[in-house]
Amino acid sequence: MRRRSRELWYALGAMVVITLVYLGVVARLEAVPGASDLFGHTLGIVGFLLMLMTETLYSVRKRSRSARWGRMASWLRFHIFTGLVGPYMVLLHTSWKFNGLAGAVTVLMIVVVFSGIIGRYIYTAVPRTADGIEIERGDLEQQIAAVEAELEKWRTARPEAARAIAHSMEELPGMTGGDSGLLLVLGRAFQEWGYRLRWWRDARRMDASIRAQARDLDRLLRRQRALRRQVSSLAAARRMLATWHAVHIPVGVVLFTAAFVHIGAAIYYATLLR
Amino acid sequence: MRKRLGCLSTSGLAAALLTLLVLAGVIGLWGGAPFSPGPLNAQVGQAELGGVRSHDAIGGQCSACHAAPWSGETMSDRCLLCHVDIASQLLDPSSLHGVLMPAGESIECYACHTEHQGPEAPMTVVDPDRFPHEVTGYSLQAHRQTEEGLDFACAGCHGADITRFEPATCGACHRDLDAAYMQGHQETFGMDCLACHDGIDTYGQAFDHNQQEFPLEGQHASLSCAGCHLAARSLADLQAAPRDCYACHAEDDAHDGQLGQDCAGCHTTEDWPQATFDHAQTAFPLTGRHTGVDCRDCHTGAAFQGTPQDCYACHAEDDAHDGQLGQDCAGCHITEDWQQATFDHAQTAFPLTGRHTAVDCRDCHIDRTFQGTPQDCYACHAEDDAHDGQLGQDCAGCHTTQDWQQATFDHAQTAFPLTGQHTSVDCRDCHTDGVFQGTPQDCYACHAEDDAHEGQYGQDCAGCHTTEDWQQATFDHAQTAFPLTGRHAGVDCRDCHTGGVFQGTPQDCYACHAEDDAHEGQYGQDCAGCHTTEDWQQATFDHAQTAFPLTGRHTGVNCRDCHTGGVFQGTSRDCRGCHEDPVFHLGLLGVECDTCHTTDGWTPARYDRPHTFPISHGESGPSPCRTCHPDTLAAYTCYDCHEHNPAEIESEHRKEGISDFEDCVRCHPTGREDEAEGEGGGGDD
Repeated sequence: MRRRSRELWYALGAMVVITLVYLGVVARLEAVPGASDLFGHTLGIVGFLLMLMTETLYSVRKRSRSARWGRMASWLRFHIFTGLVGPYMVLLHTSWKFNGLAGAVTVLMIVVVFSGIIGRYIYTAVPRTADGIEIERGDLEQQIAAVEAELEKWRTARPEAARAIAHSMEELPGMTGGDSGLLLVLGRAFQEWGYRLRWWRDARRMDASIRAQARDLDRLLRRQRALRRQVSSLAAARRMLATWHAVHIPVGVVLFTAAFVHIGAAIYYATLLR
Repeated sequence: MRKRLGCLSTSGLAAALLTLLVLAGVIGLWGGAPFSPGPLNAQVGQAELGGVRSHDAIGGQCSACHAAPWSGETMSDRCLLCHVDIASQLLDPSSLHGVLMPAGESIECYACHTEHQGPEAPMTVVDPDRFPHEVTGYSLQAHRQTEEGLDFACAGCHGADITRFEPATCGACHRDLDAAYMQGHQETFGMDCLACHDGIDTYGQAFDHNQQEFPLEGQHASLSCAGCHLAARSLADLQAAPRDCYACHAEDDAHDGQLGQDCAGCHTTEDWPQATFDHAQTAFPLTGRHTGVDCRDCHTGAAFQGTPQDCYACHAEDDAHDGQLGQDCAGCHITEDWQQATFDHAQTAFPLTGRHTAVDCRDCHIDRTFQGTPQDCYACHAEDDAHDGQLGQDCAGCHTTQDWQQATFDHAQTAFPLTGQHTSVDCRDCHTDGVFQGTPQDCYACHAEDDAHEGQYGQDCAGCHTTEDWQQATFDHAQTAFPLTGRHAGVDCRDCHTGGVFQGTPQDCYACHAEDDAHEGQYGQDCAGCHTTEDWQQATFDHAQTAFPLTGRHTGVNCRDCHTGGVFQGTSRDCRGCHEDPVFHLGLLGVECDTCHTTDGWTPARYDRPHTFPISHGESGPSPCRTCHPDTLAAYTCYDCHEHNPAEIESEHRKEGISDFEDCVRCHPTGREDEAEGEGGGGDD
């Protein structure tokens, strides 16, 4: 499991477990559990609480300067986890009916979730420290210089290997950032996958001894590419992130406002029903 | 400055406000429709209720059904505001709603009637598993699944209208399962299944009759229901079936009602003919072999009441006594065994004792004659009379029923009582040839051959002999001229009366004791003069009649000590004849010992003759001779009884200048000390 995506795996696992439980209830009831039934209601309550935690805790943590609350990266991962599992539980709570305000809340929730996914993608385009503090251009360029120095050191120490894998070290055509910082931010994954695919092909053709020496080189090259992308897209990434915030937050507020109204109505019409 | 939370940012607050406004507008326009979980039912009803014919027509007026929580009303109250017909049903316990929702119980309408499921969704969704069908009087417990394993649906029995049920519906399914059974069942119990069946198979296959008040036991268990529950068409009919035996078995009553109608008192359901009547409850308990007798053997003609209880009613033909002993057979016979009669003969004038008890009745009561049977012994034992009638016919006078041979004749009642060994003599030893009367009573008649005296003493043996022991004759010799005294009494008669001669036996001692005469006739033949019959050796001779009376110790001397050699006459009377003169005397005192000595003892001797020295010398008076004369009379000494000793005497005399002091008497003739002046050398006193 990649450490960088650990929260995704956790969320996936939780959703699988919840799904299995849900299917078990369906089998027992021989019907979809209603939204106001005990199980459905529990799904909705727990899911919404997770969503509230998603909405508030990470934001509060971001605004806290104290390190005793834990690392930002950890809170971000928690935010992502609750942001995936909570909405999934609420989705199951709907009993697959999307009438009225409840349906609108469901749609808003899905939009906010996907928005969040996009926002994370954009967020990771902005280089940050482990504490979530953005890294400035100057720092990035220093890091790039350091990586390139290590690359040179490696090439010098292994001239034959360097010659053998020189092709892998070249830039892919059409993969430069240019003015399309937006494209670079949005397409960096594809770009990276392209590099890695080429590297994989080239590695198959390498001798075993050279392949073993090339592992360190691969790491350095990845680091180099990432830094270069970050440098190239730094401004664009920040702009995109700000834009995303401007959309995501209001939509989120709308979601929760409508959700609270829905909850109030459910309490009025269902929970307190005699 | 810290950034505010996104939700509290301007855009966030604006978004929230805008959302609320939009929602408010939507609610204002469409009421509570935005909160509806689904479309309302649009099915049109037959009548207009609450101003509408369908729920959908209510639209967004949620409050028409949903009462505010603080209003105190329930949704059911709102339902009944429109559905007044249902409100009426609730008051009618015979109606569906009246049964489902009895007074006091709160079951909400929405428990069965759902909404918001869509315009065409059913308004009534009843979970068969949860619907309390039993309140209708019929449980679905046995109708969960069909034979094919499918769940029962309401329409399967109720059709389109679940409030209606046709009884024929049951048969339609059950005939498919077992047509033959259903046909017979319905013919027996009718077509109204619900009249008996309640859905939980109370009276179905699981019905256990044994749990009811009338358990089916024995042959009852194999009967069909209709066998007892005649024309039953309902539970009430089934339960009304009679439980008493007579209701079904009146025609089986072989007793014609004589024993009442409680057949179970004797008969069981296992087997009707096998009745178990407790005869012990009657006045005639069955005991012994009566218990194995078939009822009909006694109760002939099926008559049980009034059956005679006396033995003769059944056993008259068994009376071997031909009525002689009456008709109360039980007086002797028992039900265990007729042959084993136990007649108490002790109640008769002839109690059976001894061996009579083991005699068979017929041995005495021949020809079955019991009354008037002779009671005298001779009637049965005449042939056993060994006395040939000599002793009469009262055998019991001697013989007992214990043992005929052991007669116990009291001879004491005769003139010849049996004593001693006569008691153990067999009767026939005396009463020979069976003759008892006139048997001789004198001894000689039997003991003539035992007469060792050959008739010398006559024939009255009893004068000496006793019946205890013939040999031990007890002849009173004192009656003779020679009474037996002392040891004569223990002498055998024959020792004296030799040759069997008793008369004329010599009476003098010498006739028997001549050989015992140690005196060889010196004293004649009258031994009794000295000797006694007590002890021959101890002769008591009166020596005082002789010239030498025995005195003192002579009296204890054995005769032979003096009369040696058996010589008594002429024995010397001189002391020296027996007593030697002791050396002590040295022949100085002559031979007349009695001058000094007596027969009482040699010492102390009494010397009365003149003595040169006073014998009474000394404070103690006369002293024995040996005091001065220790060895012989020829010498004397003064030292034995004087406190001074030879050394001192010598010393004292030598002081006095006396040298010759051996002969004390010479100077002291009388034993006085002062007599010695002028003698033996002199000296002052």
